[in-house]
Parts: sequence; C-alpha cells; structure tokens
Amino acid sequence: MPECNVVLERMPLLLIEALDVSTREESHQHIEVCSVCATEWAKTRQTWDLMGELPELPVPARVRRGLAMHLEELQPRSNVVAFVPRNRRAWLQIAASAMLVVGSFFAGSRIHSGRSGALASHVAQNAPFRLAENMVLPASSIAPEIQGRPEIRNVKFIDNPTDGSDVGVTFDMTSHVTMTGGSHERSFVNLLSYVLKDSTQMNRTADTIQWVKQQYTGADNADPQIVSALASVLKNDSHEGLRLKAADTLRELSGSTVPEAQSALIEALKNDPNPAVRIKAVEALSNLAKARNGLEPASVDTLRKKAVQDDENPYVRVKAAEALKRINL
Amino acid sequence: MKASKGREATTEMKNLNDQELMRLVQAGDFAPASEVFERYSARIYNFAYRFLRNQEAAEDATQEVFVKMLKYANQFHGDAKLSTWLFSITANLCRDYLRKSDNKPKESEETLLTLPSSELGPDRRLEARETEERVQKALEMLTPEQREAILLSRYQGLSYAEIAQIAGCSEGAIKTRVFRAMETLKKYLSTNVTGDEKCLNAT
Repeated sequence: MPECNVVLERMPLLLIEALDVSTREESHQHIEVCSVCATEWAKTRQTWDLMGELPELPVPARVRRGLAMHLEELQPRSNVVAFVPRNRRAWLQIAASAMLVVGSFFAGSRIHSGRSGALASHVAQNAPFRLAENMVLPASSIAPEIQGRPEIRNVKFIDNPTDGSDVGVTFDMTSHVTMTGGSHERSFVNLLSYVLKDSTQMNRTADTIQWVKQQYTGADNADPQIVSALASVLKNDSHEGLRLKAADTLRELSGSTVPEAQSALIEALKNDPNPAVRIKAVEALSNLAKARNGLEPASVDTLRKKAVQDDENPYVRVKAAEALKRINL
Repeated sequence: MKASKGREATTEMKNLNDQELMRLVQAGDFAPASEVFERYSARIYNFAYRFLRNQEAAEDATQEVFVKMLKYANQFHGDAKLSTWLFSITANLCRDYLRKSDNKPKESEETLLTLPSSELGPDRRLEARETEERVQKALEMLTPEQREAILLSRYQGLSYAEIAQIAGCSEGAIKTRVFRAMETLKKYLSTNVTGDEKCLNAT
C-alpha cells in the first residue's frame, strides 16, 4: 500500500487517468481506507470540476480579419525556389557529401512547359543556392541514382501539387525537398524504392506502401523496381503489419511481372508466421496467375500443398484451394 | 458554380487530417490554413486569454500563431501532433509577452470576465459569473509556469509528455507544476466552495 504523500502526488494523474491500471487501482484502494486521502481526493475532484465551469470564449472577429490581411502578404507568388549551383564543381562536391547525386539540370531541350519554364529562367540567371533552403524540384531534374545510405526523413506525399504535376513527395535529407512530377518518373521510382527498402521507420514505410498502392493500382504495369521493393518488404520486414500491407499491394499490382515478387509471395505463403499475410500471398498469386495465364510449377505445387496441409490455418487452406480452382488446376 | 466549388473544397478540407492539411500548406497552398484555423483558433485563443489575462494580447498572440504556422510550415515535420506544435508557438509568444510586460496583467478584472449566457436565469447567471471570477482569480495565483501547465492539462487535455514538449522541460517538472498548481487551486477554490474556514494542508 503506498504512503499518503505518494497518493497525494498521484491525484492530478488520477484525475486525467494517466496512471497505469495497477497504480490506479492501488491508489484508489488507499483512498478507500484512508480518510485523510479520501477528503483530499474529494477536494481535488471538486476543484477540477469547478475549473471546468470556465466558459470557452469565441475567437473575436478581429483575429480572423487580421489573419486574412497577413495571408495576402504571405501567399507565395511561386513556390519554386531557385535550385541551381554556383558552378558545377562546387555542386558536385556538396552533392558527394550529401550522397545524393543531383545532376543533369534542366538542359533546354529537357524543359517542359509551365513551371519548368520558370525553373529554366532561374537556371539562366544562375542564382545561388544554399544547402539548407527548401527546394522544390521537378523529378526530371534529379539524377536517378541515390548513392550510399543517406538518411531520408519526414517523407510525405502530395497527391496534387500546386505546380500541376501528377504527384509530389517531400522529404528531408540535407534540406527540405519537394519533388514533383509523374509517378512513373525515374527519380520518383528510385526514391520510393529506396524508402521502401530502408524501412527503419515503420510509419514512413506504411505511408509509402499506401501511397504506392494508391498511385499504381490500375496503372498498366507498375514499375518493376517498385514491385521488387515491395517484395523486399514482404520478405524481410520484421513487422507483420507492413508485410501484410506489402502482400496486399502486390496483389493489386499483379499486372507487373517481376520474378522477385512471385518468389517473395511463395516464400511468404510457405513461411510467414502470420496467416493474414499468407492469405494475402495466396490472393496475390491467384491474381498473378490470372494476369499471366498461369503460374510456374513450383508456385502451383506450393499452393497444392497448402490446400491440403493439415496443420495450416483453415482459411489459408480454403484460399489456396480457391486459387487453384480459379486458375483451373 | 464558384460558390458550389468553394463548398466542395471546404468539405474536402474537413475530411483531411491535420497532417494532410499541413502537407498542402507546405506545398505552398494556403487555402487549407483556414481549416486549421477553424480547428484550433478557439483552443489557442482561450489558452492565450487565460494565460495572459489580457484580451488584446491574446488576440494578437492567436493571430501571430497562424502567421508563424504559415511562415514556418516546413518546420512542422509531423513527428509531433499539430496541436502540440501550435501550442508550442502559442506558449512561446505568451511567455515573451509576459517577460516584456514584466508579468503584470493589463486588463481590469471586469473585462476579463465573459458575459454569461443569456439562456440562463438571473440567479444562475450571477452564480456562473461568480464561479468564473473565482476560478480566474485562483488561476492568477499560480506562477506562469504552473498556469501554463494546468491550462494545457485541464482545458486542452494534453498529456504531460506533450506539455513537457511545449514547455521545454521534463515530464517530471510538469508533474510537479501541475501538482503544486492543484494544491494552490484546491486551497483557494475548495475553501470558497465549501465555506470551510480551514485550508487543508496537503503538502
């Protein structure tokens, strides 16, 4: 049983239920048998309740009006920040240190219309850039290789960037970068594959898988590199939720024929400890078979074994049998 | 047609979560900021008002919070909740104000009190006004640090970890501040409420 002073100190936490169950229970047991603490607890609760009587005030209209005036001043005319090197050599030195090779900037023939034109004029002016500034880049301006193992943080996706591109992604590496373009552009594909494979942050990987699913479902032949990265998540990630998401997304992207995907799905079906992942793997293999008019013999063999394996989860067995029926085997 | 599109956009904004709204703001689109304002302005204004005990300063602080949110949107990385980030900005502005104004409230007690709802009867209105006055006075007895902690805990429902992040101190320090604040409030409010002459010695 805790001492009175310990229970008294816990009272504010008891009010907001921020204590773990056993500590809470222990404290209440003490309060029930200690008249001093019971009185204090009653007073504490009474005070807390009385404080709740303070009314919530509406925000005065002046605040909204003032903010509206500021908004006009703050709204950027363009969200494109100049991003060009002072000279190529200096840039390469910085790029090497940052381990991201950024090159091949906006040769005149590569510039598209609209926003890219604005970028071209920035290049022409040869404006300086600082490494710490926020950068907004078209995907086509970034060389496709990500070398070394740079830490890419705070990856976020933008469905409809304001510059009219199909998709956008922002991330922090040495600067806060916003990259916009099409989902099939090499730089996007490379960045996504990199983020998927470098799954040190669970939420980030989950967001990325979700975004991949959203972007590439229904698209003809999702990029093989993305499919391969998803296969890697399914095969290697220790978090079952991520493996499940990866298998589910592979099921949606079955139009893309990537050997790693099939082997990762078979591997998951054979060995993944989570039956939900195995079910998704069966479904993905079934879709794959449909898209390719059949499966390799080894995959079919695994499905057959699963359909009759006694110690397998019954749902997995049923799914495997259904898949075999669906592909007429 | 334009109004209909505007309504659709507003509805779409309402369906977005805080992180999604901020992503748009970070991408240079300020329209979602109005939805963020709708979600948080009342909480921020009330916190600033109770913290500073000065209506004009609270209005300025609330406005400044959203200006800063737009200016420094890219510093919000989504690691913390948007509410925590916004309250951090608010608390910093309030602390600066208190430092500059030498911690003296500029508002008279009368103007600090709000008008009780006209739906209440005269007796209930008087009672509500008295209660508000009593609570407001009790809050004024706290140190700014204690007031900040108790306002964020009691009225904004933030966890001690979030408050610690906002106040820039440890969770343990917040625990102590809230405990001491509650002790002061309890002595003042429970005595007044119960008419009990004796202050409880809880320390």
